[in-house]
Amino acid sequence: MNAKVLQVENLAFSYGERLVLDGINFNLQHGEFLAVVGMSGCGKSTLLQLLAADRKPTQGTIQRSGTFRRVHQQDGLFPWLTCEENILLGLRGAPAEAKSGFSELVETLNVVDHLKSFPHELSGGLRQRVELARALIGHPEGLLLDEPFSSLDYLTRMETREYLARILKQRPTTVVMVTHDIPEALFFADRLLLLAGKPASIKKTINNPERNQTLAENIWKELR
Amino acid sequence: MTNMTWAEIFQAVAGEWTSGRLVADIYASLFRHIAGVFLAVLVGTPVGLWLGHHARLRRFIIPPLNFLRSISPLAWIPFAVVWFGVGDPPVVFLVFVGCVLPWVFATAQAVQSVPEVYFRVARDHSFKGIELLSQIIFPAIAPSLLQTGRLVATLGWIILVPAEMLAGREGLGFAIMDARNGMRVDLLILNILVIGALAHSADVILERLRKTPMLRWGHER
Repeated sequence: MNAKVLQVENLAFSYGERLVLDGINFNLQHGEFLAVVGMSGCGKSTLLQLLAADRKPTQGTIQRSGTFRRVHQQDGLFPWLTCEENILLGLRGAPAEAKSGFSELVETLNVVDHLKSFPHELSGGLRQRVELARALIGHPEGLLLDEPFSSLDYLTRMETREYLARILKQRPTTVVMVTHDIPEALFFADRLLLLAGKPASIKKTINNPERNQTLAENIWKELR
Repeated sequence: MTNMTWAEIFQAVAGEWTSGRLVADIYASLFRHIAGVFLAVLVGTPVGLWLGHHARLRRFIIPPLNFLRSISPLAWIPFAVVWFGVGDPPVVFLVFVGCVLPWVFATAQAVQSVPEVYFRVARDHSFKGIELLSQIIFPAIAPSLLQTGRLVATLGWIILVPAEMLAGREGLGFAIMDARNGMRVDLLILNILVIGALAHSADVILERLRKTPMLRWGHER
Protein backbone atom coordinates (compact mmCIF):
# COMPACT_ATOMS: atom_id res chain seq x y z
CA MET A 1 0.00 0.00 0.00
CA ASN A 2 2.92 2.34 0.52
CA ALA A 3 4.23 2.03 -3.00
CA LYS A 4 4.97 5.28 -4.76
CA VAL A 5 2.31 6.07 -7.32
CA LEU A 6 3.92 9.23 -8.60
CA GLN A 7 7.55 10.32 -8.47
CA VAL A 8 8.60 13.72 -9.72
CA GLU A 9 12.30 14.47 -9.73
CA ASN A 10 14.05 17.70 -10.55
CA LEU A 11 11.31 18.72 -12.95
CA ALA A 12 11.72 21.79 -15.13
CA PHE A 13 9.71 23.07 -18.07
CA SER A 14 10.22 25.90 -20.55
CA TYR A 15 7.96 27.43 -23.15
CA GLY A 16 10.67 28.11 -25.71
CA GLU A 17 13.26 30.22 -23.93
CA ARG A 18 11.01 31.05 -20.99
CA LEU A 19 11.55 28.80 -18.00
CA VAL A 20 8.17 28.30 -16.31
CA LEU A 21 8.79 25.57 -13.75
CA ASP A 22 12.04 24.65 -12.08
CA GLY A 23 13.28 22.26 -9.43
CA ILE A 24 9.99 20.48 -8.72
CA ASN A 25 10.38 17.36 -6.58
CA PHE A 26 7.75 15.28 -4.82
CA ASN A 27 6.54 11.71 -4.38
CA LEU A 28 3.03 10.48 -3.79
CA GLN A 29 1.94 7.28 -2.14
CA HIS A 30 -1.28 5.42 -2.75
CA GLY A 31 -4.33 7.27 -1.45
CA GLU A 32 -2.52 10.54 -0.75
CA PHE A 33 -4.17 13.83 -1.67
CA LEU A 34 -1.75 16.50 -2.82
CA ALA A 35 -2.96 20.03 -3.42
CA VAL A 36 -0.78 22.40 -5.42
CA VAL A 37 -1.65 25.99 -4.64
CA GLY A 38 -0.47 29.06 -6.48
CA MET A 39 -1.62 32.33 -7.95
CA SER A 40 -3.27 32.33 -11.38
CA GLY A 41 -0.72 31.96 -14.16
CA CYS A 42 2.03 30.66 -11.89
CA GLY A 43 2.40 27.36 -13.76
CA LYS A 44 0.00 25.08 -11.86
CA SER A 45 -1.87 23.96 -14.95
CA THR A 46 1.42 23.41 -16.79
CA LEU A 47 2.53 21.16 -13.94
CA LEU A 48 -0.70 19.19 -14.22
CA GLN A 49 -0.28 18.90 -17.99
CA LEU A 50 3.21 17.52 -17.40
CA LEU A 51 1.83 14.99 -14.93
CA ALA A 52 -0.87 14.05 -17.46
CA ALA A 53 1.83 13.58 -20.13
CA ASP A 54 0.34 16.30 -22.35
CA ARG A 55 3.78 17.91 -22.36
CA LYS A 56 7.29 16.58 -22.04
CA PRO A 57 9.53 17.94 -19.28
CA THR A 58 12.44 20.09 -20.40
CA GLN A 59 14.41 18.51 -17.60
CA GLY A 60 13.83 15.89 -14.90
CA THR A 61 11.58 12.87 -14.78
CA ILE A 62 8.01 11.93 -13.93
CA GLN A 63 7.28 8.31 -13.08
CA ARG A 64 3.67 7.24 -12.84
CA SER A 65 2.54 3.81 -11.85
CA GLY A 66 -0.82 2.73 -13.30
CA THR A 67 -3.52 4.75 -15.02
CA PHE A 68 -4.16 8.39 -14.28
CA ARG A 69 -7.41 10.12 -15.11
CA ARG A 70 -8.24 13.77 -15.14
CA VAL A 71 -11.07 16.17 -14.34
CA HIS A 72 -10.91 19.48 -16.20
CA GLN A 73 -11.93 22.95 -15.17
CA GLN A 74 -14.98 22.79 -17.45
CA ASP A 75 -16.33 21.37 -20.71
CA GLY A 76 -14.38 18.14 -20.37
CA LEU A 77 -17.40 16.03 -21.35
CA PHE A 78 -18.09 15.19 -24.97
CA PRO A 79 -21.34 17.03 -25.73
CA TRP A 80 -22.48 14.59 -28.42
CA LEU A 81 -22.55 11.69 -25.96
CA THR A 82 -25.05 11.14 -23.17
CA CYS A 83 -23.76 11.31 -19.61
CA GLU A 84 -23.81 7.53 -19.41
CA GLU A 85 -21.78 7.20 -22.61
CA ASN A 86 -19.34 9.79 -21.31
CA ILE A 87 -18.92 7.91 -18.04
CA LEU A 88 -18.44 4.58 -19.79
CA LEU A 89 -15.53 6.05 -21.76
CA GLY A 90 -13.65 5.85 -18.49
CA LEU A 91 -13.70 2.07 -18.82
CA ARG A 92 -11.42 2.14 -21.85
CA GLY A 93 -8.28 0.30 -20.90
CA ALA A 94 -9.72 -0.65 -17.51
CA PRO A 95 -10.22 -4.24 -16.34
CA ALA A 96 -13.60 -5.73 -17.31
CA GLU A 97 -14.74 -6.08 -13.70
CA ALA A 98 -14.48 -2.29 -13.22
CA LYS A 99 -17.92 -1.90 -14.82
CA SER A 100 -19.55 -3.66 -11.89
CA GLY A 101 -18.96 -0.53 -9.77
CA PHE A 102 -20.97 1.66 -12.16
CA SER A 103 -24.25 1.69 -10.22
CA GLU A 104 -22.63 2.43 -6.89
CA LEU A 105 -20.51 5.21 -8.39
CA VAL A 106 -23.38 7.02 -10.11
CA GLU A 107 -25.51 6.69 -7.01
CA THR A 108 -22.82 8.11 -4.73
CA LEU A 109 -22.31 11.04 -7.10
CA ASN A 110 -26.08 11.41 -7.47
CA VAL A 111 -26.09 11.42 -11.27
CA VAL A 112 -28.39 8.41 -11.72
CA ASP A 113 -31.33 10.49 -12.93
CA HIS A 114 -29.25 12.21 -15.58
CA LEU A 115 -27.55 9.30 -17.31
CA LYS A 116 -29.63 9.66 -20.49
CA SER A 117 -29.21 13.43 -20.59
CA PHE A 118 -26.68 15.27 -22.70
CA PRO A 119 -24.09 17.43 -20.90
CA HIS A 120 -25.50 20.73 -22.18
CA GLU A 121 -28.80 19.87 -20.50
CA LEU A 122 -27.17 19.73 -17.06
CA SER A 123 -26.00 22.33 -14.56
CA GLY A 124 -22.28 23.00 -14.12
CA GLY A 125 -22.10 21.07 -10.84
CA LEU A 126 -23.77 18.00 -12.33
CA ARG A 127 -21.43 18.09 -15.31
CA GLN A 128 -18.43 18.10 -12.99
CA ARG A 129 -19.87 15.13 -11.10
CA VAL A 130 -20.38 13.23 -14.33
CA GLU A 131 -16.78 13.99 -15.28
CA LEU A 132 -15.68 12.78 -11.88
CA ALA A 133 -17.63 9.55 -12.45
CA ARG A 134 -15.90 9.12 -15.81
CA ALA A 135 -12.52 9.67 -14.20
CA LEU A 136 -13.14 7.15 -11.42
CA ILE A 137 -15.16 4.40 -13.11
CA GLY A 138 -12.07 2.52 -14.30
CA HIS A 139 -10.46 2.52 -10.81
CA PRO A 140 -7.45 4.58 -11.87
CA GLU A 141 -4.39 4.68 -9.69
CA GLY A 142 -4.28 8.46 -9.83
CA LEU A 143 -6.65 11.36 -10.34
CA LEU A 144 -5.53 14.75 -11.65
CA LEU A 145 -7.85 17.63 -10.87
CA ASP A 146 -7.37 20.88 -12.74
CA GLU A 147 -9.23 23.46 -10.66
CA PRO A 148 -12.32 21.27 -10.97
CA PHE A 149 -14.64 23.59 -9.07
CA SER A 150 -13.44 26.97 -10.28
CA SER A 151 -16.22 27.41 -12.84
CA LEU A 152 -18.95 26.73 -10.26
CA ASP A 153 -20.87 29.15 -8.09
CA TYR A 154 -20.14 29.12 -4.35
CA LEU A 155 -22.97 26.83 -3.20
CA THR A 156 -22.47 24.35 -6.02
CA ARG A 157 -18.76 24.36 -5.27
CA MET A 158 -19.43 23.42 -1.65
CA GLU A 159 -21.84 20.69 -2.72
CA THR A 160 -19.44 19.25 -5.33
CA ARG A 161 -16.62 19.26 -2.79
CA GLU A 162 -18.75 17.07 -0.54
CA TYR A 163 -19.39 14.65 -3.37
CA LEU A 164 -15.67 14.43 -4.13
CA ALA A 165 -14.85 13.79 -0.47
CA ARG A 166 -17.53 11.09 -0.32
CA ILE A 167 -16.41 9.29 -3.45
CA LEU A 168 -12.75 9.38 -2.44
CA LYS A 169 -13.70 7.77 0.84
CA GLN A 170 -15.46 5.05 -1.08
CA ARG A 171 -12.67 4.65 -3.66
CA PRO A 172 -9.34 5.71 -2.13
CA THR A 173 -7.34 7.20 -5.00
CA THR A 174 -4.12 9.15 -5.21
CA VAL A 175 -5.00 12.71 -6.14
CA VAL A 176 -3.15 15.76 -7.37
CA MET A 177 -5.32 18.85 -7.42
CA VAL A 178 -4.12 22.23 -8.63
CA THR A 179 -6.10 25.19 -7.40
CA HIS A 180 -5.85 28.84 -6.48
CA ASP A 181 -8.56 28.35 -3.87
CA ILE A 182 -6.71 27.97 -0.55
CA PRO A 183 -9.70 26.86 1.60
CA GLU A 184 -10.51 24.23 -1.03
CA ALA A 185 -6.94 22.93 -0.92
CA LEU A 186 -7.03 22.83 2.89
CA PHE A 187 -10.36 20.99 2.81
CA PHE A 188 -8.87 18.03 0.97
CA ALA A 189 -5.12 17.98 1.20
CA ASP A 190 -2.90 15.54 3.06
CA ARG A 191 -0.07 17.62 1.72
CA LEU A 192 0.07 21.10 0.31
CA LEU A 193 2.65 22.46 -2.13
CA LEU A 194 2.91 26.20 -2.48
CA LEU A 195 4.03 27.07 -5.97
CA ALA A 196 5.45 30.57 -6.50
CA GLY A 197 8.20 32.59 -8.12
CA LYS A 198 9.46 33.05 -11.65
CA PRO A 199 10.20 30.38 -12.71
CA ALA A 200 7.75 28.71 -10.34
CA SER A 201 9.17 26.33 -7.81
CA ILE A 202 7.95 24.77 -4.58
CA LYS A 203 8.13 27.53 -2.04
CA LYS A 204 6.85 25.49 0.83
CA THR A 205 5.45 22.03 1.63
CA ILE A 206 2.87 21.65 4.38
CA ASN A 207 2.08 18.13 5.58
CA ASN A 208 -1.30 17.43 7.14
CA PRO A 209 -2.35 21.07 7.08
CA GLU A 210 -4.83 22.24 9.67
CA ARG A 211 -8.11 23.38 8.24
CA ASN A 212 -8.26 26.83 9.76
CA GLN A 213 -8.56 30.42 8.69
CA THR A 214 -5.18 31.48 10.10
CA LEU A 215 -3.29 28.98 8.00
CA ALA A 216 -5.28 30.00 4.94
CA GLU A 217 -4.37 33.62 5.52
CA ASN A 218 -0.71 32.80 6.06
CA ILE A 219 -0.58 30.80 2.84
CA TRP A 220 -2.22 33.66 0.99
CA LYS A 221 0.40 36.08 2.34
CA GLU A 222 3.22 33.75 1.30
CA LEU A 223 1.92 33.41 -2.19
CA ARG A 224 1.50 37.14 -2.82
CA MET B 1 -44.52 38.97 -67.88
CA THR B 2 -46.93 41.38 -66.18
CA ASN B 3 -49.85 39.76 -68.01
CA MET B 4 -48.92 36.31 -66.66
CA THR B 5 -51.67 34.72 -64.55
CA TRP B 6 -51.48 31.90 -62.05
CA ALA B 7 -53.90 29.94 -64.25
CA GLU B 8 -51.36 30.04 -67.07
CA ILE B 9 -48.60 28.87 -64.77
CA PHE B 10 -50.76 25.97 -63.54
CA GLN B 11 -51.46 25.12 -67.16
CA ALA B 12 -47.72 25.12 -67.83
CA VAL B 13 -47.19 22.82 -64.83
CA ALA B 14 -49.82 20.41 -66.16
CA GLY B 15 -48.32 20.46 -69.66
CA GLU B 16 -44.76 19.89 -68.46
CA TRP B 17 -45.91 17.23 -66.04
CA THR B 18 -47.96 15.22 -68.54
CA SER B 19 -45.23 15.40 -71.16
CA GLY B 20 -42.81 13.98 -68.60
CA ARG B 21 -40.31 16.75 -69.21
CA LEU B 22 -40.62 18.32 -65.76
CA VAL B 23 -39.87 15.02 -64.03
CA ALA B 24 -36.95 14.35 -66.37
CA ASP B 25 -35.53 17.85 -65.73
CA ILE B 26 -35.95 17.51 -61.98
CA TYR B 27 -34.29 14.11 -62.03
CA ALA B 28 -31.36 15.38 -64.15
CA SER B 29 -30.80 18.47 -62.00
CA LEU B 30 -31.15 16.60 -58.71
CA PHE B 31 -28.65 13.99 -59.85
CA ARG B 32 -26.10 16.63 -60.94
CA HIS B 33 -26.57 18.68 -57.81
CA ILE B 34 -26.27 15.74 -55.44
CA ALA B 35 -23.31 14.26 -57.35
CA GLY B 36 -21.44 17.59 -57.44
CA VAL B 37 -22.02 18.38 -53.77
CA PHE B 38 -21.27 14.78 -52.74
CA LEU B 39 -17.95 14.82 -54.61
CA ALA B 40 -17.10 18.19 -53.04
CA VAL B 41 -17.73 16.75 -49.57
CA LEU B 42 -15.85 13.55 -50.41
CA VAL B 43 -12.75 15.38 -51.63
CA GLY B 44 -13.05 18.45 -49.41
CA THR B 45 -13.40 16.64 -46.08
CA PRO B 46 -10.00 14.91 -45.95
CA VAL B 47 -8.29 18.01 -47.35
CA GLY B 48 -10.04 20.20 -44.77
CA LEU B 49 -9.18 17.82 -41.93
CA TRP B 50 -5.58 17.74 -43.06
CA LEU B 51 -5.35 21.53 -43.28
CA GLY B 52 -7.15 22.00 -39.99
CA HIS B 53 -4.59 19.86 -38.24
CA HIS B 54 -1.39 21.32 -39.67
CA ALA B 55 -0.79 25.00 -38.97
CA ARG B 56 2.47 25.04 -40.92
CA LEU B 57 0.85 23.46 -43.94
CA ARG B 58 -1.94 26.04 -43.87
CA ARG B 59 0.60 28.81 -44.36
CA PHE B 60 1.59 27.35 -47.74
CA ILE B 61 -1.67 25.89 -48.95
CA ILE B 62 -4.19 28.59 -48.01
CA PRO B 63 -2.86 31.35 -50.37
CA PRO B 64 -3.23 29.29 -53.60
CA LEU B 65 -6.61 27.98 -52.41
CA ASN B 66 -7.73 31.53 -51.69
CA PHE B 67 -6.63 32.49 -55.18
CA LEU B 68 -8.75 29.72 -56.68
CA ARG B 69 -11.68 30.42 -54.37
CA SER B 70 -12.11 33.93 -55.72
CA ILE B 71 -12.57 32.69 -59.30
CA SER B 72 -16.19 32.15 -60.30
CA PRO B 73 -16.90 28.46 -61.01
CA LEU B 74 -18.49 29.62 -64.26
CA ALA B 75 -15.05 30.69 -65.49
CA TRP B 76 -14.30 26.96 -65.70
CA ILE B 77 -17.10 26.34 -68.22
CA PRO B 78 -14.82 26.23 -71.29
CA PHE B 79 -12.49 23.79 -69.51
CA ALA B 80 -15.47 21.72 -68.36
CA VAL B 81 -16.73 21.43 -71.94
CA VAL B 82 -13.26 20.61 -73.32
CA TRP B 83 -12.55 18.03 -70.62
CA PHE B 84 -16.00 16.48 -70.22
CA GLY B 85 -18.02 17.37 -73.33
CA VAL B 86 -21.73 17.89 -72.71
CA GLY B 87 -24.25 16.10 -70.50
CA ASP B 88 -23.94 15.32 -66.82
CA PRO B 89 -20.14 15.28 -66.25
CA PRO B 90 -19.36 18.96 -67.00
CA VAL B 91 -22.28 20.16 -64.87
CA VAL B 92 -21.28 17.90 -61.98
CA PHE B 93 -17.73 19.17 -62.37
CA LEU B 94 -18.83 22.83 -62.18
CA VAL B 95 -20.97 22.20 -59.09
CA PHE B 96 -18.02 20.36 -57.56
CA VAL B 97 -15.60 23.21 -58.36
CA GLY B 98 -17.97 25.75 -56.83
CA CYS B 99 -18.60 23.77 -53.64
CA VAL B 100 -15.33 22.07 -52.85
CA LEU B 101 -13.29 25.06 -51.64
CA PRO B 102 -15.96 26.50 -49.32
CA TRP B 103 -16.25 22.98 -47.87
CA VAL B 104 -12.46 22.65 -47.45
CA PHE B 105 -12.19 26.02 -45.71
CA ALA B 106 -15.16 25.33 -43.46
CA THR B 107 -13.87 21.89 -42.47
CA ALA B 108 -10.40 23.24 -41.71
CA GLN B 109 -11.90 26.06 -39.66
CA ALA B 110 -14.14 23.61 -37.78
CA VAL B 111 -11.19 21.39 -36.89
CA GLN B 112 -9.20 24.39 -35.68
CA SER B 113 -12.14 25.34 -33.48
CA VAL B 114 -12.38 21.98 -31.70
CA PRO B 115 -11.61 22.78 -28.05
CA GLU B 116 -8.19 21.56 -26.95
CA VAL B 117 -9.81 19.90 -23.95
CA TYR B 118 -11.50 17.33 -26.25
CA PHE B 119 -8.10 16.28 -27.58
CA ARG B 120 -6.78 16.00 -24.02
CA VAL B 121 -9.70 13.83 -22.95
CA ALA B 122 -9.25 11.75 -26.10
CA ARG B 123 -5.55 11.26 -25.31
CA ASP B 124 -6.36 10.35 -21.71
CA HIS B 125 -8.70 7.66 -23.02
CA SER B 126 -6.29 6.39 -25.69
CA PHE B 127 -8.18 7.53 -28.78
CA LYS B 128 -5.86 7.43 -31.76
CA GLY B 129 -5.95 7.39 -35.57
CA ILE B 130 -9.26 6.44 -37.14
CA GLU B 131 -10.94 6.15 -33.74
CA LEU B 132 -9.91 9.71 -32.87
CA LEU B 133 -11.19 10.91 -36.23
CA SER B 134 -14.50 9.05 -36.23
CA GLN B 135 -15.40 9.21 -32.54
CA ILE B 136 -14.03 12.59 -31.49
CA ILE B 137 -13.16 14.93 -34.36
CA PHE B 138 -16.14 14.16 -36.64
CA PRO B 139 -18.78 14.46 -33.92
CA ALA B 140 -17.07 17.62 -32.64
CA ILE B 141 -17.20 19.33 -36.04
CA ALA B 142 -20.55 17.86 -37.16
CA PRO B 143 -22.79 20.79 -36.09
CA SER B 144 -20.50 23.24 -37.83
CA LEU B 145 -20.35 21.07 -40.97
CA LEU B 146 -24.11 20.81 -41.02
CA GLN B 147 -24.38 24.58 -41.18
CA THR B 148 -21.80 24.64 -43.96
CA GLY B 149 -23.73 21.85 -45.68
CA ARG B 150 -26.78 24.09 -45.86
CA LEU B 151 -24.75 26.89 -47.44
CA VAL B 152 -22.97 24.58 -49.87
CA ALA B 153 -26.24 22.92 -50.92
CA THR B 154 -27.64 26.35 -51.78
CA LEU B 155 -24.44 27.28 -53.57
CA GLY B 156 -24.78 24.09 -55.60
CA TRP B 157 -28.19 25.18 -56.88
CA ILE B 158 -26.90 28.66 -57.70
CA ILE B 159 -24.11 27.18 -59.81
CA LEU B 160 -26.25 24.45 -61.33
CA VAL B 161 -28.60 26.75 -63.22
CA PRO B 162 -26.01 28.65 -65.33
CA ALA B 163 -23.95 25.48 -65.67
CA GLU B 164 -26.90 23.61 -67.16
CA MET B 165 -27.65 26.50 -69.49
CA LEU B 166 -24.26 26.17 -71.07
CA ALA B 167 -23.06 22.66 -70.57
CA GLY B 168 -26.15 20.50 -70.10
CA ARG B 169 -28.69 18.97 -72.48
CA GLU B 170 -31.54 18.75 -70.00
CA GLY B 171 -32.31 19.84 -66.47
CA LEU B 172 -34.07 22.75 -64.86
CA GLY B 173 -31.34 25.24 -65.82
CA PHE B 174 -31.50 24.10 -69.41
CA ALA B 175 -35.30 24.35 -69.27
CA ILE B 176 -34.99 27.97 -68.12
CA MET B 177 -32.75 28.75 -71.08
CA ASP B 178 -35.13 26.92 -73.39
CA ALA B 179 -38.11 28.85 -72.03
CA ARG B 180 -36.21 32.10 -72.42
CA ASN B 181 -35.38 31.34 -76.04
CA GLY B 182 -39.01 30.45 -76.75
CA MET B 183 -40.29 33.51 -74.83
CA ARG B 184 -42.27 31.12 -72.58
CA VAL B 185 -42.52 33.16 -69.41
CA ASP B 186 -44.88 30.58 -67.88
CA LEU B 187 -42.24 27.85 -68.18
CA LEU B 188 -39.55 30.23 -66.96
CA ILE B 189 -41.52 30.95 -63.79
CA LEU B 190 -42.42 27.27 -63.38
CA ASN B 191 -38.77 26.19 -63.47
CA ILE B 192 -37.67 28.97 -61.13
CA LEU B 193 -40.36 27.89 -58.66
CA VAL B 194 -39.32 24.24 -58.90
CA ILE B 195 -35.64 25.07 -58.26
CA GLY B 196 -36.63 27.21 -55.29
CA ALA B 197 -38.84 24.43 -53.91
CA LEU B 198 -36.10 21.79 -54.30
CA ALA B 199 -33.47 24.01 -52.67
CA HIS B 200 -35.83 24.83 -49.84
CA SER B 201 -36.73 21.15 -49.31
CA ALA B 202 -33.06 20.23 -49.03
CA ASP B 203 -32.59 23.01 -46.50
CA VAL B 204 -35.58 21.81 -44.47
CA ILE B 205 -34.13 18.28 -44.34
CA LEU B 206 -30.74 19.59 -43.16
CA GLU B 207 -32.45 21.83 -40.62
CA ARG B 208 -34.31 18.77 -39.28
CA LEU B 209 -30.99 16.97 -38.87
CA ARG B 210 -29.91 19.74 -36.52
CA LYS B 211 -32.43 18.48 -34.00
CA THR B 212 -30.98 14.97 -33.75
CA PRO B 213 -29.36 14.30 -30.35
CA MET B 214 -25.92 13.93 -31.90
CA LEU B 215 -26.04 17.44 -33.34
CA ARG B 216 -28.42 19.34 -31.09
CA TRP B 217 -25.70 20.29 -28.61
CA GLY B 218 -23.98 22.49 -31.17
CA HIS B 219 -26.98 24.79 -31.43
CA GLU B 220 -28.48 24.84 -27.97
CA ARG B 221 -25.86 26.56 -25.88
